Amino acid sequence: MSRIRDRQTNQKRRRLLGGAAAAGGLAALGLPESVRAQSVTIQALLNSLLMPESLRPLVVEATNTRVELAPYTSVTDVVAKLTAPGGTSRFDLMGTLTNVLRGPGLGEREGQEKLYPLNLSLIPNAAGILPAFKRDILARAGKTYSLPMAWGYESVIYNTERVPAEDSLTQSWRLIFDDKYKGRLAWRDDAHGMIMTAALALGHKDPAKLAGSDVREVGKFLIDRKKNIRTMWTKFGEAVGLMASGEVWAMYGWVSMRAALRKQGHKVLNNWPRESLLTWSFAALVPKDAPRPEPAQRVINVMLSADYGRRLVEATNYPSTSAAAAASFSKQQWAERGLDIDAHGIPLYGFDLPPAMDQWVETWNTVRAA
Amino acid sequence: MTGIRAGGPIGRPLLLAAPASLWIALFTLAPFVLLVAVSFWVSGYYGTRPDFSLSNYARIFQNELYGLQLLKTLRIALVSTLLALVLAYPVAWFISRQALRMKTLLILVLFIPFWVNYVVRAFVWLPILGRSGAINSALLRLGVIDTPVDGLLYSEGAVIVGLVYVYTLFMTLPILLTLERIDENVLDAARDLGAAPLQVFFRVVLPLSWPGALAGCVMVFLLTLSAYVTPQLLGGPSGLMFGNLIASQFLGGNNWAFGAALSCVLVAVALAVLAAAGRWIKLHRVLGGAA
Amino acid sequence: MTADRWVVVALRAYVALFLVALYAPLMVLVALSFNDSRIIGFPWEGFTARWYGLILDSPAFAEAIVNSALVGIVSAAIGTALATALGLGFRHEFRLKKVLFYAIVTPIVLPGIAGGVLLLLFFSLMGVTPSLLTTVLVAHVNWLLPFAFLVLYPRLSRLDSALEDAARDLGATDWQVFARVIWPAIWPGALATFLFALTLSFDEFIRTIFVLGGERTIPVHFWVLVVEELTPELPAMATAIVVITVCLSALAHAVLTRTGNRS
Repeated sequence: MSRIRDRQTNQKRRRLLGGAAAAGGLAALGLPESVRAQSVTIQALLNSLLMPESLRPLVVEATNTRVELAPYTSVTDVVAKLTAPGGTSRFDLMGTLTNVLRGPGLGEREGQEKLYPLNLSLIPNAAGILPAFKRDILARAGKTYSLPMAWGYESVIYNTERVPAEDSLTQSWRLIFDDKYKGRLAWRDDAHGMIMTAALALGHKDPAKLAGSDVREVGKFLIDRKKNIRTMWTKFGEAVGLMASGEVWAMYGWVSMRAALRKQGHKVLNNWPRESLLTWSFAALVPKDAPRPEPAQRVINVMLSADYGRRLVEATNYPSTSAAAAASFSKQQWAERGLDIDAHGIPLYGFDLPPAMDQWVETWNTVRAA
Repeated sequence: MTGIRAGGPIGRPLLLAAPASLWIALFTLAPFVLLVAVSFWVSGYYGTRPDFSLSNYARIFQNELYGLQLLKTLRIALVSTLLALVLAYPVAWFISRQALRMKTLLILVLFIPFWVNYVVRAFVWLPILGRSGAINSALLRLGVIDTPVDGLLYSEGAVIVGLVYVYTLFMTLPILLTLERIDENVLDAARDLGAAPLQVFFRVVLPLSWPGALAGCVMVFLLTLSAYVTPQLLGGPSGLMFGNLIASQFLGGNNWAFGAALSCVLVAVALAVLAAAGRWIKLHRVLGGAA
Repeated sequence: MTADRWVVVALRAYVALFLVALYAPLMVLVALSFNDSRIIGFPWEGFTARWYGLILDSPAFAEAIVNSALVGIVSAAIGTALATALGLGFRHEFRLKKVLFYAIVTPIVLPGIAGGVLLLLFFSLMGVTPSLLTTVLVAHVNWLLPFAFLVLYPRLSRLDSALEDAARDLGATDWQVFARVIWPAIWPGALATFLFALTLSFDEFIRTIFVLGGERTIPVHFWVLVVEELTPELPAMATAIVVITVCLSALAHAVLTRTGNRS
């Protein structure tokens, strides 16, 4: 692989070194003293948005570790590569959605984990994870297997010039199911998200635990409501294009889409559904037989630091799970970015996978086929 | 292997076929055997584990969703194939009749749009077919319509158009290569014997280009049968084909075993269709060049 | 006579229309690459060339081009060679020919994602380390072999064996028959097949991502860029690739027409 660095990276690196961050910064990162080891390179497979170019020098500075990112293509791909035979020794560090990792990563019983038990003394920043996401720390029998390092949520992105924000319908999941904006709505082509949000819209409080008969009911509801949508999207770019071109006015979406659209001048907001916001997190993990688990864990520690977290939000709008990072923004700044999930008086529900995912997929396919 | 018939074109057919056969055995058949094995495994919340279970196949046969989608997919595949054939043939004919310079130029011209990367192609449909896209805007400005046509995008028609577009080269190229070999003299002779142009076409040209046309149809048919990206992008709320059913097992579902079972069913159906069509058109005879 | 003329005019018009429709997406792409918008798509926000500037700054993009070219040329060469030999062999009758035919076309029916996961599983079980010239190469040859065969074979099957028989009678060895009689007749078709295979490899993406090591090909690079963020320079990159390939093709065209041909 090429050892050439981007020009931009080199320039940013020089700025970083020249800054006052040096000594004080390292202490603020909460690093143990033992980090005077010689430089190491680890192989990682995680979304490059979680470790953008601009932040990699920070990682190198703090841990003496270079991270080589393999091409990341999807959450599915990461889990596939982890669970394939021999997959636990290919990479040192991986990142994927916690809800997808939970089942195959931990396995059914103790001893079936595909993850390396983390040494928390190497990751002191783990203590500073936001309380709302402590539930996403994968642990079993006293051992910690993965830590959430960034989070997000599902809600409805809508065009404020077409859909009034104060409307009661707007602040509900029903917005994407109701007849009011018929033909101007879009769903995501995703069994998990659509069935869960439809269940919430129908009044179910704990959708991950839906009974089989309820899943069928939700399916019927979705089939009935399908006539109101223009299309379903699968990729970020697709969704953003739909809103930007005016093809749809409201759609199931992510806060990163809101940020992207607003940057381009579109008057777009996300709603705060009164039934529940669906929150999720990205988990950082070390595969069970990783060749270099120690430096990998130190990198995780840096990713959980306040400094990294703050820069991550600024660079990508992805919020880190570091409470200190969140605190370094004012309430107003946080709200501007759409990250003030606690401030709207709505319940937060974990976007976990249902045990009966099979049935959800089949139901969703039936909805799609109808 | 026994039963070698020597003589005719350069001998030792087995030797010729050996390298490719070896490759196919190693990298196509062996993984395919694995696929069949996996179709009997069981997938769940915790991942996939080896097993011997008929539960996947049972589900496919019990839920009418899969059978219905299969029929729908077969229908779309057939329509797309025929449409591609009709659209591509005249182009192939035209190119084959050009002088060498023009011909190679046209072939390259034909290739260029297919170098637009598949990832990027996904972004161009909306600007062309969308409500505020190029076609609708033009039609509006010309006064042909009052409101934008919704059905240009996110409909089954759009899927077929998309599929035909994406696979048009697969149809044009083999037809072109066979048409090329038709000597102009043969056509002249037919004309001198008094045949009308249409007769020349149907009695001389078409039969001679049959192998190419057939090969193109096989390719386009099989490709559209397994398509899932185009139907998802262009099909809208009901844009589902069998390939999407399979893809969804590997994406959100993590249900590799069921995905494998669905794949095996699709392969079986595809081969059955080919076998049936083959009997009707004597496929391997035609492709076998036993003219 | 007039009917004949009409047919000619109609045909010309049709082909022109066909090419316009074929090129529409490419034209849109080029337009988008100059759109001063961070979101890929219309509305038009103004003209800019800055996306092209951005792509010059990216070694990852250059690397991806090199990787794609490498894998493309090698896999297309292997695939075309295998398809040619196979095609020549298919001119005979032999046992299991029908079975072989089905074996050849089966991979086409497997949706990309299923094929990719299957290959991942297969290579993992075999203990093969994923890399560009091992697993990715295999995946690409696998993908393009059936197409190379189906495109080339109809052409091969029409070869008149009279010349070959004559050469054989005159005592030529198999290799001489191939090199002196067959190859001169089929090389344009083989070249077209090679080009086709190259195109297929260049665009192959979904199977590739599952068997990748650390190197990227162009579609993978594009995908990684659009995975969850805006990459306004994407149309510019795609256009740049098309331009590069067009230039190479123009070169090929010049070479081909100069060497002459009896077709």
